[in-house]
Amino acid sequence: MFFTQTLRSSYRYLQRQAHESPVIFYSCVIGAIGPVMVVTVPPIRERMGWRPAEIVPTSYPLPQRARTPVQGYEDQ
Amino acid sequence: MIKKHTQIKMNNNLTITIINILLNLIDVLCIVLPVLLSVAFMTIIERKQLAAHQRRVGPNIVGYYGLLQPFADALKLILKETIIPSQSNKVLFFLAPISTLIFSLLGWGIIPFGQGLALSDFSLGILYTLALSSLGVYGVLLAGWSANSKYAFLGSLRSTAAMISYELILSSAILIIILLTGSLNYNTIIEIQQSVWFIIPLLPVFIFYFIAILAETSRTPFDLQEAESELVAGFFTEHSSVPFVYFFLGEYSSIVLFSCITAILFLGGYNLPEVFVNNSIINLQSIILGLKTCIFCFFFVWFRATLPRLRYDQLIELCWLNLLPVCVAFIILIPSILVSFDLVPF
Amino acid sequence: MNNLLMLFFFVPFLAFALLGLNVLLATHKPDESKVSAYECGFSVIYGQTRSTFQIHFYTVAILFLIFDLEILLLFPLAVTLYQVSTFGFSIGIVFFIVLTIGFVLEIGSGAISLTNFDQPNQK
Repeated sequence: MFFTQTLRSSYRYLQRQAHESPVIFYSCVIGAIGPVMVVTVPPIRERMGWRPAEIVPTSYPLPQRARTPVQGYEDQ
Repeated sequence: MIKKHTQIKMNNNLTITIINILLNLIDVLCIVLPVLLSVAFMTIIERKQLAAHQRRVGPNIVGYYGLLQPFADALKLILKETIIPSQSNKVLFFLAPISTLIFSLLGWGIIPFGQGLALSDFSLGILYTLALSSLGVYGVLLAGWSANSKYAFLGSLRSTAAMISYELILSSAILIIILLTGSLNYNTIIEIQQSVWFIIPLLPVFIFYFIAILAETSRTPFDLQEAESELVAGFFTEHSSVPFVYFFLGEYSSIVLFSCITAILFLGGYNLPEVFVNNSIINLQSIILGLKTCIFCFFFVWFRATLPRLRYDQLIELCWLNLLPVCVAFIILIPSILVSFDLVPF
Repeated sequence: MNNLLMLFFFVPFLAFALLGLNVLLATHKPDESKVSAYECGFSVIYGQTRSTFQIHFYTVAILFLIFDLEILLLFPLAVTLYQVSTFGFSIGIVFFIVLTIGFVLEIGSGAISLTNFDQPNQK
């Protein structure tokens, strides 16, 4: 009972704000959609069969062995 | 023998340098002269189009359809006396219009008129544009302060406040485009729009952007600087003849420049969609860019013919209380969409 | 010398050349009423132009400085969003939310509404 009352009053408050200051209200809504999307959308997409793409390499792969200092090229 | 040889070599180097400088000069003239012509024609377009909106004829005596009217005006203004007010700060009084003209003409240096057809294919082109549009404020501020007249001072204060406020909207709208392209280079931005013009996915952003450039070039409905009914002519009340021409040229040059940048950022610049593959003998790219620029120039005059002027407090409140919150919301929303759908450009 | 540098030299040259043309061609006969400040027909009141002006313009300029800096600081993030991926994005969002709180504070304190200056007792 208390819960529905709170829900209804907050709904009424939001409705009032959307009417009184629509710019602030809807920009809050649009701004809040963004972070929510970042959290919710990738799990849903993964459940529907999406696999994250491989990261595009930005440099060449370094060899796994230890580096050997090069001989014979000193500036002499 | 050796001395003579080096002499010839030095002469050769000097000749090559001079030829290079001449070629650079020709390149620059190829941009600046058509720009000045287009600015002249922009003034006559504005007068003719305003006349058409109000069912008048407009200027039609000088040349065919009044086509030579801007040249006649320019000649007349060059031959007029320059009045320097006795209480003004003389150096700044001349420096202000000159800086306005310079900063609005320098913006053309990085506009690509075709693939690789730019004066400089600058990798930070967007930042260059933003920097120049910020510097444009100085002309207005200095003009109002140096003229030492009440009307000029008030006009410059108002228009400075308006320009810097809307600069914010402009740079945030451009930031959203940069999020979609991942590059500050104009050529890259155009190439990315080959699949879809940004005006389609970013229509709300385009609307903010256009409002911002209307205020940035101080056109109606935001032309508070020259609110004729209250401030005579705003910040250039005291300027006459050539300094006045510089303000005029600077204003119209920045209108054409911003129309061009809008065409590049939102309508795909010199590219048309894949339907028209552009490999004919005649390169149509710069003509396409010109036509797209004309659309926005038309919009500028259309708004002037349609909308009344805002009051100063309305202007500031529209910027800070209405446009900026929505812009901030879009700056959060659009990268979120990109990140959550894995669409981030690299 | 590249093309952009040439433009940087040529455009000021053009501006000064046109000004020189005006000096050469136009008449120059100033008299007292011509060079006095324009006052819509009244004689000049001295000391009115360098007087105080409303603080509101200054406030707008200061606010512009902060917010333009904020947006320009986001440009590097926008360019490298792929490299910094979700982590960098979340840091960017935190940065932006902190500044948005500042923006709300600034609107709430009435720094940019002009009407507060005219009628202090209205609200």
